[in-house]
Formats: sequence, structure tokens, C-alpha cells
Amino acid sequence: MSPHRRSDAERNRRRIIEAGIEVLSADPEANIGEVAEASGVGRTTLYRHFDTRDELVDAILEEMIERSRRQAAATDPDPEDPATAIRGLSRAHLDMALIFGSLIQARNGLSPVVESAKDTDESPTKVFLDRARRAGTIRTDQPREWQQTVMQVVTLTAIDEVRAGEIGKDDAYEMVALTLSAILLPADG
Amino acid sequence: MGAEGAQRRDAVANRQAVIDAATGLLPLDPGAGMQEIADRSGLGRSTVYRHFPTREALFRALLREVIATSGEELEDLLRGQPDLAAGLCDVGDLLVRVGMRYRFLYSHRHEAAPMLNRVGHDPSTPLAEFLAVARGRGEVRSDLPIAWLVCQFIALTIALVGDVITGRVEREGADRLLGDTFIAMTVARA
Repeated sequence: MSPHRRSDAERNRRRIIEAGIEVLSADPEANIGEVAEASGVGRTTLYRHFDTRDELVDAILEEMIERSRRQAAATDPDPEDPATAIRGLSRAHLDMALIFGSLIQARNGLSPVVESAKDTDESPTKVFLDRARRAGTIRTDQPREWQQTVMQVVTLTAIDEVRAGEIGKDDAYEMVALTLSAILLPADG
Repeated sequence: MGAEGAQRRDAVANRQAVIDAATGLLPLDPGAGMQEIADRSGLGRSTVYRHFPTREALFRALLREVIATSGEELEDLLRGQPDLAAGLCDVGDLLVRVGMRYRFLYSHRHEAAPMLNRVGHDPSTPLAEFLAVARGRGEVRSDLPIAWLVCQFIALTIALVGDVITGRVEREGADRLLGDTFIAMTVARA
């Protein structure tokens, strides 16, 4: 393939993914034809990039996880100020997860992409937790792995509550921050 | 009505016999098949299939059963418990024990989500009532709803079971860790 054609292919792939994010986060049931239409590339081109709908959704999820990571890192979590860092990180995760949630629904069954994302090393949450533990600004009597799980689970549960209409998005930011600070910060802090 | 009533009672008893057999067998042998569960229940395969046409149907019933028995155990545990921290410690202990015993259900946790969500929002569960009473004494923080706390307890329990299964967190001390997490997020701080 010539470099020119390769960059065309790359551009098409990006357009499909962007369109997919838009279409599927609005309607998790949307079919691949609707994504093709929104992206402006033909169905045949779309199928050249993605064999199945699940493959497309996985590529979209991968992109969202990457963005979520960038968003979280952009909050620049300061290990010396863990309460603010926790607030910023959880807010970034909530924002992304609200879009994510419907995309996860868009996939048939569990996505291996989402399952394996938990254990990667570059997560800004993990980096923050390690630094704050070394600085002694968060508790060190809980395993770091558990603290990471807690940050993820409390946020995901909040998403369910927002989706079910039990709480509003602004309440969720506040409640997640309060809950996580209470669990992770030293009791006398 | 008489004969029909007896038939109905038989059906209920048979159904429960299958559930009991499965909850007895699957923790020891998670791969046990419907035949083995039928053998243990003392019922024929066809009777078992009449109640649970698929393994999935059986697992849904097991999830309900585990949720119901945990509720009963929590009720016994918390009845007359005057101390918030001691109570939450015991709750962490119990939930890790139940979660580990039924860890073969872990891969079915997504199916349990709607059920668990209802439990989390029910103000009349033993745990919600225990927290409400302690809140009356000013011991539970007032800035987070009780349903929020209970939903988070449930989600954290399942997550911890997952972490123990995958080896991220050690089984030893997991009960303390969960109870301690509950206490940290619940207790009103001065």
C-alpha cells in the first residue's frame, strides 16, 4: 500500500470511530449501517476496517479508555493534596464513564478491552496512588490494589445511580469525592 | 384444590431441593453439571430441567437465594448490635465469607445487578435499618444517603471477591479490609 493510501485508510478509520462514539453513545442499539452513514464512508469501507460490529465497538472502547486516561492525567493529580486530586480524578472518570456506559451496553457481552484495561500500569490513578502513598498523604495500611479498585468501583456505582435517575450528575461528583476521601485519607487528616 | 395444592407443594419442595443441591455442590465443584446437581438433589434430570431449563436459569435462582440468605444472616448479626463500628466489622466479615463461598457466581455478577440494586435501595433491609438507627444516634455521617452507602457496600464486596479471586488482594485479612473500608466511609467524623 502506498503511504498515501495508508493515510487515507487511517483517516477513514478515525472517521468511523468518531462517528461510532457519537452514534452508539446516543443509541447503544444502533447498527453498523447507521455508523457508516454518520461517518460518511461506505459500508464496504467500514467492513474493510472492522469485520464485526463487536470489533468496531471494541476499537471505540479502546479509544475512549485512552481518552479517559488522558483526561485523568490532565487533572494533574498532586500527591501532596490528595483530597483535590481524588476529586479531580473521580470527576474525570465520571465524565468519561457516563459516555462509556452506553458504549459498553452497545457490545454483546463483556468486552475484553474493558476487562484488561483494569490491570494496565499507565493508569493515572495508579500513578497518583503510588506517589501519595510514598508521600504519606493517603493511607498505607490498605493495599494499593484495593485502593485502585475502590476508586473504580465507587465511581462505577455512582454512574449506575445517575443512570437510574437516583441522583444527579453534580450530586455524583460530590458524593464520590466524599466517599473516596473518607476511605483513602488518614482519619486524622 | 386438594390434589392440586399437594402438587404445588411438591413442585416448590423440588425446586428448593435443586437449589439446595446446587448451593451445596457448586462451591466444592464449580464445574458440576446439571446431571450431578440432579443426582445430589435426589430428583430425576427431567424434573430438574422442568424447573430450570438452562444452567443460566438455575444461576439466576441461585443469585436470588444467596441474596436472600445473606439478608437473613445480616439480620441475625445486627439484631441488638449497639455499636456501629463493631457491626460494620461483622458485616464485612460476613459478606467476604458469603462472597468467597459463592465465588462461582462471580462471573454471573452482571446478571445480579438489577436484583442487588433493588436491595441497595430498600430502606427495610437489616443493614439499611441498622445504619438508620446509628444515624439517629449521630454516628453515621449525614451528608451521604443510606441507600448510597448500602449500594457502595454491595459493589465493594463483589469487587473485593473479584480481587481475591484474581490474587490482587490476599484472602487473609480481606474481611478486615472490607469492614474497615465500610467504617471509614460511614462513620461521622468530628
